[in-house]
Amino acid sequence: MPAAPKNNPPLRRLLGPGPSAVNPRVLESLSLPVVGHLDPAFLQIMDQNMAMLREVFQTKNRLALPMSGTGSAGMETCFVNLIEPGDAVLIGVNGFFGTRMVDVAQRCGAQVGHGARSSAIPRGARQEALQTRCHRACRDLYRCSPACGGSIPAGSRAR
Amino acid sequence: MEEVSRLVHEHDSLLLVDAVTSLGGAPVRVDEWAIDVCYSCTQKCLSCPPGLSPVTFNERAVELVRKRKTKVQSWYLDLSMIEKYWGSERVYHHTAPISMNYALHEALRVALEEGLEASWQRHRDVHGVFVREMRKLELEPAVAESIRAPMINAIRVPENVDDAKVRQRLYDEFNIEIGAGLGPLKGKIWRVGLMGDGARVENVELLAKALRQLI
Repeated sequence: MPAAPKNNPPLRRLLGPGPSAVNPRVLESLSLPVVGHLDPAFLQIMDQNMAMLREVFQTKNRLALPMSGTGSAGMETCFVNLIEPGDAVLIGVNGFFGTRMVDVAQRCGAQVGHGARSSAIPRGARQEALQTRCHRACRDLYRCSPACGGSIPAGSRAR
Repeated sequence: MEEVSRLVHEHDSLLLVDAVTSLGGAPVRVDEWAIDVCYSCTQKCLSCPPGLSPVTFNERAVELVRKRKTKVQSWYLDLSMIEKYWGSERVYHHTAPISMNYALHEALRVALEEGLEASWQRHRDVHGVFVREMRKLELEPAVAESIRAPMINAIRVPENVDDAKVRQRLYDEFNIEIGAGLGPLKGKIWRVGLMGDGARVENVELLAKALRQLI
C-alpha cells in the first residue's frame, strides 16, 4: 500500500467526557526534542513530575508517579499490585467504570462484593472473608451512604 | 469522603479512590481524607492528551505490595520494579514515554500556576452557567444536584430528539464533540465535559447556541 495521506485532524471543541481540550502550552511541549529515558535532563523532568503530582494529589506520599497508559492502566495498577487471589474487595458500582473495576478485581482473583446505591449487600458473597469483614463494611457503608452522596467503596470513586 | 474513609479504616481495609475525572477540577485531598490509593488520568481536568495515569500509594499500601506472597500478575504494571526507575536507583524497567512526560510536566505547571483552589472554583462556576443555559433550552440535568460532578455534566436527551443525529450534526456543522450515554444510558443522556482548559463560559455559550438550532 502507498503511504496514506498526511494526517489532518479537524480542530474540534472537545466537550465530551475526554479527551478534553489540550492546553496550547501542553501541545507545544509535545514537539520538544526527545532525549533518552536515563538522560539527566529527563530524570529531572521525572522528579519534577512526581513533586508536582504530589501537590495536585495533596499528598506527601513518596510514591506518586505517572504510569504509562491511560486511566484504565492506573486502575489496573492499583488492583494488580494490591490484590492477591482470595482477597476481599468491596466496590461501589455507580456506572460503567465501576463495572470495569469489578472485572479488573475479579481477574486478580479477588472475592468482589459490589452494589449500586440502592442495593445493600454484595452479590456472590461466598467466602468467609466477604461474609465477615467485607460484609460488615458493606452494611456500614450503605448505612452512611446518604451522607456521602450515595456511592461507596473499599474501591471508592470520586468520578 | 471522610465518612467513607473512616468506615473503611475501621474495618481494617484500604481505601482506593478513582479520581480520573476529578483530579485538577475538584478537591482530591489524598492525605486529609486518608485515601490509601488513588489514580487519575491526563486527558480530563489536566488538559493533556491521553497517555499517562497518575497514581499514588501511601506507605501502608506500599508496605502491602512489599509483603505480597505472590508475584504481581502484570510485569508491565509491577510497582516494585517501576518505583526503582522513578526512585534514586534509576533501574531500567520499560522506556518511559518521554514526550508524554513533557506534556504532563507542562500541564502540571499550568495547573499549579492557576492554583488548585482557583481551578476548582472555575469548574464550579462554569458548571453553574451550563445548568442555567441548558434549562433555557429545557434540557435538564440527569443527576441530582447533591451528587453532581461539575466537570462532567449529564443531561437528559429530550424524548423526541435523535441522540446520534444531534451529535453527528454537532461534529459536522459546529466542530463540537459531546459524549453519548454508556450502557443502559445509551440514547438517554448526553455527557458534556467542561474540563481543564475546556471549562470556559465561551464553550457553554457556543454549545447552547448550537443545540438551540439542533433540537
